Amino acid sequence: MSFEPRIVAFLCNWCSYGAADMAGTSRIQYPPNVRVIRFMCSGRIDPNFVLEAFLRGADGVMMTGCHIGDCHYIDGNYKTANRYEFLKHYLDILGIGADRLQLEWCSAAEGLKFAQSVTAFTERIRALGPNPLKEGGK
Amino acid sequence: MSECFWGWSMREDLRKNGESGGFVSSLIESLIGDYDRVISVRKTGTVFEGKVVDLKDSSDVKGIQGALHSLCINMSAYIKKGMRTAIVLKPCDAKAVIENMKRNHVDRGDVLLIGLNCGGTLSPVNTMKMLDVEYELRPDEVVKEEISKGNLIFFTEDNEFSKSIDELEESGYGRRESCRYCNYKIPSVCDIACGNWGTPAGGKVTFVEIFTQKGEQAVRSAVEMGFVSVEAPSEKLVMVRSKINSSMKKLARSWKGKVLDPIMELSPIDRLNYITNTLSPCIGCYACRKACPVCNCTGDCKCLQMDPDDVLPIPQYHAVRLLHLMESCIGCGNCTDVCPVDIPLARLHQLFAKAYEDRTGYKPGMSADDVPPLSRGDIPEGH
Amino acid sequence: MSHRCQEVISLKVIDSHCPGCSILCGLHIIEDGDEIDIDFQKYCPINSGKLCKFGIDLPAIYKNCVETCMVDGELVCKDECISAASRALKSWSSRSKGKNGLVLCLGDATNEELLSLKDFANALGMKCSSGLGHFVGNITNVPLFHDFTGFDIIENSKNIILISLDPYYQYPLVARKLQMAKERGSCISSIGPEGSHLETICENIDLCRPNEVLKRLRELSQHVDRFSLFITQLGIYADPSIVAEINNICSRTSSRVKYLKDYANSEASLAMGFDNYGKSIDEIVSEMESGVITALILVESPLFDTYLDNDRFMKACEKLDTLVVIQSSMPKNLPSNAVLVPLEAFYRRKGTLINVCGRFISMGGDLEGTPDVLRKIMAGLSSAPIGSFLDLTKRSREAYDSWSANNIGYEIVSVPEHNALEGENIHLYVTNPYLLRGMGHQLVKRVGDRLYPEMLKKERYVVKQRVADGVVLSYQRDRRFKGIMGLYE
Ligand code: SF4
Ligand code: SF4
Ligand code: SF4
Ligand code: FES
Repeated sequence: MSFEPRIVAFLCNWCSYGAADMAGTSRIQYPPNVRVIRFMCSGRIDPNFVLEAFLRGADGVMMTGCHIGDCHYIDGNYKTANRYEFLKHYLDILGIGADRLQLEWCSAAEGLKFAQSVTAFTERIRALGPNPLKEGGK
Repeated sequence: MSECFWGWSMREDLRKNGESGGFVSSLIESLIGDYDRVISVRKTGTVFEGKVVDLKDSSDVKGIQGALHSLCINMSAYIKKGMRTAIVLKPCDAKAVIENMKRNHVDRGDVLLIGLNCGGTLSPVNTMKMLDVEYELRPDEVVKEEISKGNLIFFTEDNEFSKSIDELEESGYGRRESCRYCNYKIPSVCDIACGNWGTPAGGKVTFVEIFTQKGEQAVRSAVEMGFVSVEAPSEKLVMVRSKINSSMKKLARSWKGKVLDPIMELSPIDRLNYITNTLSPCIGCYACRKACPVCNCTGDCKCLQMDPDDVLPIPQYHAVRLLHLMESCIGCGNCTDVCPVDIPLARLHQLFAKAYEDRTGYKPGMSADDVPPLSRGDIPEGH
Repeated sequence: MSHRCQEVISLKVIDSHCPGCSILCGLHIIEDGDEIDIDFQKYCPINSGKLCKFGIDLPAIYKNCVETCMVDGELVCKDECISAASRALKSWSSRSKGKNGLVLCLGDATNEELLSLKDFANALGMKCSSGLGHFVGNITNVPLFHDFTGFDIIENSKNIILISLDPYYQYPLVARKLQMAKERGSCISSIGPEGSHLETICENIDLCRPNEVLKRLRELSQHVDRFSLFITQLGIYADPSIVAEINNICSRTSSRVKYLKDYANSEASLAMGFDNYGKSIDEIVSEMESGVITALILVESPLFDTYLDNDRFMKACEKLDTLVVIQSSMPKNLPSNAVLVPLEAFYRRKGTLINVCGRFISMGGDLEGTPDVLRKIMAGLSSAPIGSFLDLTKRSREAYDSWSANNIGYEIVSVPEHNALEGENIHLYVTNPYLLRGMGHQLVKRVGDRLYPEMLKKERYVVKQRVADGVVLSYQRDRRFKGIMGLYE
């Protein structure tokens, strides 16, 4: 059986969730591999959520939020950016690989950008293969 | 700012019996009353047995153990927020205090940190076994131990026994693993650092380096009140001290190369398997968190909220701890010491912390003004 | 320098031993005003500073040790409860013709406390029980408890057989020793219900239900020799037939046995000759019900909380003429006729203990504990006084010396009929410190009790799933009870 990546996407309610919505309503195609989880702000994405997604078998995790400067809560996404940088090092040292995590800034109007980045990310994960934790674990 | 002295106690008994002239004992004696708590370690049996004491008057000073080399107590746990505390500690304890300052668990203004240089600590039970096997000594015969010129020396009443530390460590004795690759030997984040590196042989003095104004004040008033006496050290011996320091650091680097680098050099998948397998015997007792000096979350901290029965390839508790400690693990080794199933936890946490340090230059425990990466609120580069 | 109005509380660090089980791991207790915390005692030879979950949670347990004095269900002051106790005992002893009184102490008492209790019992004509006496008395007359082998024996045995033991969860410190033994090439086998991580230490795992253990043990007995070591649990619910069978195997083959016990200092109750009643807890409860025992002094043994059938124990207690409970923590349930006399928390007491290796060790506290309480009760009784603490220490040293000088020996005994899984109470083979000491026991209160989903709801356990026949199948459980729960899954 060919490998279909399972991707978890954490979306910010005020922007990327709208973008995903827009991509849907304007019939822009993007792969069905993403499972979307909505947050009120990307700043609410606790690094643990990302870890947990990987531990439970996600092949890739996407974090998305408003463009820098556009966060509804002013600086929520600054924190996201810092955590993202930190998590990348962590995943790399752990051996899961930093490539499996992606941060994307995406406003509510950028339906196309959202669809494109999901597509690109899915392809990247497809090339990387399944989450190495799954092989030993389950 | 840094100034160096030789110092010694003015109390005859302390100068004679105290290690290195009893400077530290007398210094803290002078601080009783100035601080709410004056904390150090007292010997309660052999040199391998002792406990922390809160000194209340001069009579408490006797038996204070200057070198904490074979007790491995986490001193930072004894600082309580809001209590003005003067405390004697090792370099890793001092780093832990700095980490706690960053997270608002300790106020810089409240504490006087009297650091002791440290070439590494010995786990007491293992050392007692080593004494028996390698040195053929009984623990109660030993009056003092010292690491000097690559040798581990035990002193009895009238003799000294010395062995190469490298050989001992090859056979599983000697310093704790985390101390072998620890490269912070002189606690420069303290107010004062004391030690016997750079002192004349048999001189019964302590080499004192002062880093802060508060430290200077403490020493000056101890001198003025007649507790201690100081003099300028000889140029030559100051050099000797820094040479010892750098050779210790070199040794630490080579140990890091032996212990941590091979794991880092594994392929990602092998490294992942190594980590997963190493953690697999964990029984979820959470002793490692309890022992960790930088894990001061109170109440509902994240790592404890996980369902321990959730069978994931890496227990979530550890996944969180590895993450949080990547920015704060100061490599004290307490977690390894207390794990009932002997998981080399410090090795794992240091693997992350050291690799992170190599990549970003962020060093935990070095300055209370640093903002921990996970708490940063600025826009990072490239965003 | 800023001025603070905060009161300066001094910090006190006390050398102590964990009261969780008979291993008596070393630790430091930090007393900082009202706050209690622990620190690791890395130089302690028995545990190198390591602790199990119980030890880590000790601050919470000690925090529960608040002095509570109670008479007939009402809170009173300390003097009042002591005089109530001595009044009750006085009137009991004048009426007690032919009836029995019993001092029951399962552990958690220093040697000095045990001796003072013995003296006290003698003065009143009462008997003493540690809940383990039937192993010495009824089953066998031999020094069965001379599993006097230190912990190091675990590392040095060629062949180790765990009987119904889940070392990782019950005694992580034993698990470490087993790992070391394995590294040295010992062969480790396990007989009994499933355990956690058994596969990481055991070469042979013989999974069987508790009632099959005896049979397996008999089959095995040809294969053991003098380099073999049995490790098993000996608590108040241990199965006498298994204990007797192990004893017989040991005597035939010169193999050895290490019993792990539930309570702090339970090794000592035997060394101090504390148990002179020789009955099991179940027998004692029946005697309370039938009126053979009319007075009970219960020391640090809140069986109304921890006895498997605790309703039955409550009722039996309520039938007693006199019930004095001497206890450092407030029991959850207390019979209405009880006089509750408070005791200091374990770590605050001084005195001596005997650890799992048979070493004589001392406590770091400064209070006497039971002897002090007994002296006050005694003052109203006008019988022989309790000796000084120094004297008690001297006597316990002597008792220890003569106990430890005895030779290890086993004699063939008759194995009692195997009935461990029958009867009203379930007799667990697998018990552990947590089971008897805290949160877990409610879960295993009565096996077969279809009501226990209800019980689970009350505790922190949530029923996730029910199956056709209505019994709980899966619940959110605390990892550390896995070993116990394994029995019923
Ligand atoms: S993780 Fe371990 S080595 Fe690191 S600071 Fe905590 S106790 Fe020390
Ligand atoms: S691991 Fe994280 S959540 Fe847990 S105590 Fe340490 S810092 Fe707090
Ligand atoms: S101390 Fe060891 S066994 Fe306990 S939680 Fe930490 S890793 Fe697990
Ligand atoms: S609201 Fe979208 S990132 Fe904060």
